[in-house]
Amino acid sequence: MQRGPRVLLAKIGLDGHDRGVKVVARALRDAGFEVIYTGLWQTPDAVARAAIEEDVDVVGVSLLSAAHMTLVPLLIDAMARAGDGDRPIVVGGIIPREDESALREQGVAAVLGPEAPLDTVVEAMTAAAAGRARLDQAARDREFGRHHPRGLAETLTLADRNGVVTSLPKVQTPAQRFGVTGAPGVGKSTLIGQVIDALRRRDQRVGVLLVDPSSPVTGGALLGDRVRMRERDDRDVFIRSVASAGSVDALSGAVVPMLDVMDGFGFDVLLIETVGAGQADTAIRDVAGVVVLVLQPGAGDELQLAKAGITEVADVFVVNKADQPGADRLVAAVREMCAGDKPVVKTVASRGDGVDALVDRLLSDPEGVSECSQG
Amino acid sequence: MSNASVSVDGVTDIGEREHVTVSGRPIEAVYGPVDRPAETLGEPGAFPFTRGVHPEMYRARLWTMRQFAGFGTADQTNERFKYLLGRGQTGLSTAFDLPTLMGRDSDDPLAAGEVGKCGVAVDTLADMRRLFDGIDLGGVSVSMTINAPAVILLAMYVAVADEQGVARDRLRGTCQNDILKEFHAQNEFVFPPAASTKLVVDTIEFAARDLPQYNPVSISGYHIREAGSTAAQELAFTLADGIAYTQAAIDRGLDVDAFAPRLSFFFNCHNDFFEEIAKYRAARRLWATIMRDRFGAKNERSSWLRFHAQTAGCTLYGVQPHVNLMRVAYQAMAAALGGCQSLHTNSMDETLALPSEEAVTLALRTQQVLAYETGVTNTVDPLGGSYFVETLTDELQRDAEALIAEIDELGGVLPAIDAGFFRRQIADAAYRDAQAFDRGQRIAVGVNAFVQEDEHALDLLKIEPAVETEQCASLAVVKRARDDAAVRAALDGVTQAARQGDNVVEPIITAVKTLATVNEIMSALEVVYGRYDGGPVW
Repeated sequence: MQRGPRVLLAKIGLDGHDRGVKVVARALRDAGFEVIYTGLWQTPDAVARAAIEEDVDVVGVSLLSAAHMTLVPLLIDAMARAGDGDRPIVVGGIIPREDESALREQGVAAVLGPEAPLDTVVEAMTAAAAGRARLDQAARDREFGRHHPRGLAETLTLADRNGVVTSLPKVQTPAQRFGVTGAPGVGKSTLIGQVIDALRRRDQRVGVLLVDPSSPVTGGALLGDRVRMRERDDRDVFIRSVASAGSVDALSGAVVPMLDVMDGFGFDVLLIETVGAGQADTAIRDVAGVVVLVLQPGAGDELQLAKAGITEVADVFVVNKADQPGADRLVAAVREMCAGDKPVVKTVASRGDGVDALVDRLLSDPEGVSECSQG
Repeated sequence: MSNASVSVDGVTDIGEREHVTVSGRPIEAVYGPVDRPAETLGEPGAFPFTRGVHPEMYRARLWTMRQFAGFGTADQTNERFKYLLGRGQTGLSTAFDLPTLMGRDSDDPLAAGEVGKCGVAVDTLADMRRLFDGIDLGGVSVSMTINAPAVILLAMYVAVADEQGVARDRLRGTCQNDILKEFHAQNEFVFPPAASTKLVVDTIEFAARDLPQYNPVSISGYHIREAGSTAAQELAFTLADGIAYTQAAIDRGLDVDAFAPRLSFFFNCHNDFFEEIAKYRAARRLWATIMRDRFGAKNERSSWLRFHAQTAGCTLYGVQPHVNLMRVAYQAMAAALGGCQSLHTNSMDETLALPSEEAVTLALRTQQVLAYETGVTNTVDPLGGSYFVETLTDELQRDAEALIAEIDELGGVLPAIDAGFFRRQIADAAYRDAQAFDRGQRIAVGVNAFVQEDEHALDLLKIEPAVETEQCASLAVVKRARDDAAVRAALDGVTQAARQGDNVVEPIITAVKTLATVNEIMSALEVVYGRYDGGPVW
């Protein structure tokens, strides 16, 4: 299937009106776009960073609080400062006509009001995306070589769409690869956000791949896991969302070459998040040295555990939301039913509790974690 | 463009549309007698209050005409308040700017570009004093649209009344203070859902003791609807939130009849005339039943669902803005026929800017024409007994009951928030609505039908960027002049009360009187409560 354009949808400032941006996200998904959403309350710098890391073809900014004449120029400036002044920007929201012309003059590709039909939105986004500039191979390799995130981001796109990238330097020391999987809602993304912080405290450079399924019909996808990671002003963290076509070998299709590219960039640790919703996710075994399965207390614990495959590939079990009733029961059930000698760690990711213990364990014995007996 | 199927004169194509409400509810050609027990209808002023909470409704007392206002500095908004009171408005309604709504000060980096834009900037008690300067708080009812930091703004309001020498038991008005709908729809939350609910219960408890004429919370469906929900979702989610607050207050040890009479509601008034009227009628009946059967309320007033209505901002457009006057007028009539207690009519320039004086006057005049010229106030529940309206009322009730049962099944409102239930429901409905609009199934006059090129623009209110500089400068002056040790001690008192799980209202009143800022007090609470990261996205 032909891959659609990638778009970053962003909310900047304090404005919480997200009806428009969520409707547009769905319409773009249904039109085959890979949609990455930043969540609310972003700064212009954070959006500029996310646009580069995600290597989107167009940035859509939604503003309904009348602050557009302040915030859009700040975004344009932030993107220029980040070495990314040529990426198309589309502004949506309630924008008076005079402001619309002013924004167009500053380089905004299109301005869309609330009365714009979804078809018009899709057309405008498609047209803007088609106008994006890419680095040529020489520039891409040069930027990659001098550790500019745009060099990495565009090389990742190449790996994502075409598979193996051959022009990269040979890897000296490969990064440790940790896979994080579990059912939707157990708090994987929040946990990874905390794990990133803990790794940074240990001076580790961290690359993250967030893998979510795409629609088998349109190829479109809603990628929102980045929201939980909190944008940080830190060159040593790089986060990328990936839409997987949902087939059993989806992970090895795009993710393996992408991880290899990230290896070449010199990260110490690579984290891979996948939805642990089915047998497909046992494929995480093939790409990660250590697989962390995240569970949460609540109804259906035993069902979660009984799911064939996934518990067998896990090396470390995390019982997240461990402040909720039933956590100890779940820990006991995990030990009894599948963990054996494998470690079981309790966390409350929303507060960061237990995260240091988890990270110490992962770092201390990356290959042989499964032989640890402590939990 | 997909809406090209709607011709400019519209007549033939529009006749071929499906007959459904704006919420997608199918409508029959003709309705007949409704087959159900008579007591579900009842008389006005009697259980289950389907026909109204008062036996005489507007014959005894007209709804309160309350236009939401606020922009720029406290002085500018104070001037607008006095302008509105001078033109016959009978209550005040305060809009705060985004930084204030988010519990941040005007000098916060995230406040850049937002100070004074969508409402008035309030950082300290000094701003609140100027906001109500020359307005007797014992003589006017004031509503405040504020949520995450509501407890702080309420404390400031009480502090100003204390300074004016107005006894607390004379204060009338409403604080929106409905944090749960922020998690579903409006996104102006700061603390996690459980801690946020605790703060709401603190204000309910405080008001039950100190502010007997004040509504400490206005349980709001308005924003849920604006975010794209259907009428039934608006109704169900609002009442579910009401159930959550009531249960939390009872769990605190309060007697339901000590606070429930002061719970008030706030609904949207959308385009679909009869469906909206039915929604209000179903809301009263459902709430009365919930109060009696779920909570065992004995005081009849506990069972009264009293509500403020606002015409739907999301139905208004920036193109042909004068047409908005007509939309607002019909919506307002539905609110009156549905028995609202107070009403805000949106200004025709609503989508373009904060209302100009001309626009806000016309909006107020719309209500005055409705109240004094049309005769809708002469009798109670004029549509009661209509085959159509009674059927719709029953349908809305049934749909809302099913949704409330689904929320109960998930373990209540807080677990349902965790599961992303409300957001998904609302966003999916919003997408369906956008698709209906694209297909031409939903017509917006002047937008996807009857389009006209030669429009004349309105004169809009402009907020000068100087407001931000001015407000930050005056905040700096206040900070320099205050007693820092007293501020520190008062803030510690707030943190300590929060840590011990005590009611934080009195410690916050103490803190605002030392001129502690909104953000400082929020931070004193955040130490204990943490910040909410927003829950599930899609």
